[in-house]
Amino acid sequence: MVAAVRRRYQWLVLIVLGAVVLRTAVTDEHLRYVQPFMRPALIVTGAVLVLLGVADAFRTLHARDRALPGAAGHLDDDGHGHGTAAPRMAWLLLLPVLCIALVGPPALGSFSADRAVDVSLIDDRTDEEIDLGYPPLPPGAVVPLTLGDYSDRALWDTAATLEGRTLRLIGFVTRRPEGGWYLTRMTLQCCAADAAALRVTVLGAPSPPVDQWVAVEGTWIPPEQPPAGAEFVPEDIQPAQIRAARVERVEVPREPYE
Amino acid sequence: MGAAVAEPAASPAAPPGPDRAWVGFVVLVGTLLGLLSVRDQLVSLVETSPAVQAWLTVFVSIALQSLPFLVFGVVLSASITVLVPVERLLRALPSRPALAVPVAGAAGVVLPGCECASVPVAGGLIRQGVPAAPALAFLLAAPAINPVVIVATAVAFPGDPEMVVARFVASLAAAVAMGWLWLRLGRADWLRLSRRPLVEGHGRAAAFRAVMQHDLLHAGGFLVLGGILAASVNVLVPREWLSSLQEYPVLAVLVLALLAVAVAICSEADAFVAASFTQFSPTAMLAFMVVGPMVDVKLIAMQTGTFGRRFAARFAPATFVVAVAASAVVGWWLL
Repeated sequence: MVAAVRRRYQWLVLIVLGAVVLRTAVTDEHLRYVQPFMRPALIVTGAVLVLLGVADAFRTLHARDRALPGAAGHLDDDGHGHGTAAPRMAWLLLLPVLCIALVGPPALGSFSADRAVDVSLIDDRTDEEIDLGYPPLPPGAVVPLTLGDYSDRALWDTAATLEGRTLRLIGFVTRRPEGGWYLTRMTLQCCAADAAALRVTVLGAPSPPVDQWVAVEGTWIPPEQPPAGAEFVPEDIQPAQIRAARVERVEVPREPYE
Repeated sequence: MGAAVAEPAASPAAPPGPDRAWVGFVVLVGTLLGLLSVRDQLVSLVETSPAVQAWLTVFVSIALQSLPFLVFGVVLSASITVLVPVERLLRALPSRPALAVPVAGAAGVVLPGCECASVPVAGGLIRQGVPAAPALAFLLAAPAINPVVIVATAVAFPGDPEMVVARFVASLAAAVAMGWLWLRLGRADWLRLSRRPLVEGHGRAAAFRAVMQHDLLHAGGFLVLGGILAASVNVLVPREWLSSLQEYPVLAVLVLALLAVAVAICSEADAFVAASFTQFSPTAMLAFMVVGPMVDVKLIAMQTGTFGRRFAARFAPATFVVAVAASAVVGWWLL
């Protein structure tokens, strides 16, 4: 039977949890799980937990030498001679510690991407972008773009800024049910629980292994146009396409999510 | 919740023996070190199952995302307990309870952040003597109508201000309705707040520390439990189930509402997730956004931890019904 978290172990739980949170915040580890802007919050949180734990450790050591646990007016007493033990549930606070320290799972990959909504298919242009199109791309033989940016321009850019340019996209490989492969990245708003996928269909190159991170250099394939007089409904929109001239393996980027 | 296991009171004059104190400690540390030593094998084992790996990532992600808000909420709650005189709090609210509820609900605008912060804060308020009804209205409203959430909703639904207004109105209405409902039907014995350390007669810093530690440990474990449930739903529920439901509008509203409970997405992000359900009606999307911040597995778990099981068993289903009803009415009216 699991015991309630007694006074003498609470500091351990706090310190260990705080230390692990601090470690993920100070290194790039947190980028696998949350957005980069969470870093300061995580540092503060980890520091607060560690400090609370250290303060409690001192108190626990101090109290053993001096007052008895049942002494009246003892701060950690609830007036009935019991220390304020925390409920058994509190041990669960060690579970994230174990997951991070023992396994350190990687950022979301093809398993989640296959099940996620493809938000590259959503047209969220502003009125200005609809009328005027997107701004022109910077000069250069090869222009690096995020998957989201490529996808928006490929599907909806009335100014056709991708025409005649070579673009470089980075993502990981996922299988396409109809055959072939997608270049994919996951995108987070808050945390991995709300992750969605961004996909670009890659043509003209054989599929690398699933989940492999690659850089694709290629050219724009204009999207299929609806038949004359008709309009595509949202369900008909297909992911943007790119004709790959070159595919090379790359390292997992520092920030895996777009 | 929070009943302590008493130290064996063999004789009040004898402190616990050093042997017994250290055995538990050694076992704990030994287990952790032992697990660390088989780390590589554990990693390879996990890699064989993409589902398990995804679960772990989602779980860690939820935990890391929520912890800062929990700590923030606990700091706020401890501040209320230790630093703010009760009289000032009570003076800020209208004395008529029926009026205090909407005022408290509207005050939710000032607390930005995840619902993880609102539970400890509401617990702190109630302990300080604020009546339960306005405190609960605040608990429900704060995660739903704070500026961050409103802005996020506006960004997720560009060119659709009605959705932002609808969310605000429906959420506030649901929170206030729940507060009034508690006034009529709520009973004080449903609230079982865990015993907090006595703070009178001790320095403010020491009291602050003690209250923070108490609240963190009491709420934190339940937060993790909520994360476990949410990660499991995230990995186990296939998207195809949802697509088949577009033909049944009423069912669709209920299903998205239930999904909001199960996936426990932070209120700042749920607008984007709701917007991605393009095959569902706006009212269904609204229900997802209104229900989520008020009742989800994370919240239910934390409410159980802070207020007791009897409370959560009544409050959560009632909130769900009220929130769905508010979404349906406001959706029909505005969307």
